[in-house]
Amino acid sequence: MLQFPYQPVPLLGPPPPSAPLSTAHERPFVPVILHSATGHSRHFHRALLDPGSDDTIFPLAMASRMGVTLQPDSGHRLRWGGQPYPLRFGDVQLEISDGVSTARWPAVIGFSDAPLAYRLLGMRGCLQFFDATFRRADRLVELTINRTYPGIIS
Amino acid sequence: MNRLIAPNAGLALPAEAFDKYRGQWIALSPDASRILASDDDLGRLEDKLIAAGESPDQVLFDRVEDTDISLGGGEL
Repeated sequence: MLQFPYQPVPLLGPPPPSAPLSTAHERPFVPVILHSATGHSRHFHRALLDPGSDDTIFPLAMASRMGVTLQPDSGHRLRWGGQPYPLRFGDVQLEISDGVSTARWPAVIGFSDAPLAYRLLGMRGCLQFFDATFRRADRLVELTINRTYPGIIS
Repeated sequence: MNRLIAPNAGLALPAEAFDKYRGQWIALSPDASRILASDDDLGRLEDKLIAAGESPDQVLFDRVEDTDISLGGGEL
């Protein structure tokens, strides 16, 4: 099992009525490494664990620089800010670690130039392989690999 | 275990990031304590790192939030 504490994002303005005493958003971020087949990697300090995202999505600008071969445009789109953005797919390996355990697995993920707030660890490519427990009261998220997990864990 | 990712697991961005770099991509030192470079554009940020002699494989990338947007799945 891997555990990651929620991380604060300081509020810029007044707290929302739904959390009047809060000073920050608390979000389930995970540090993640993308590995390409060409041996390049990029480390992202925070990616958002997002069960509401169908796919795992990273910046398109990074794909070519890492040597990720994108699949032909399948016509899929990502909607962000009311606008559709092309969504291209490529094969990578994803790696996450909580400092105790490390998981690394192959995945087909999406790349987009949509100005998303975060890198998204969505259902396909990431959360499909884990049982995720969002322990909000403890400000902790736990990931346990499930029987479909295709990678290695150490 | 990868040597780079473990030191930053669970660490929040440094306060400096929220004070000075809202809306920008930043490159952080492996322990996430220092901001090495920044730019509005991720590709240009990599170019800056390379020009400064840093390897993009050996830093942490992040983008600092620029608004108090409430996230949701309403666009699904």
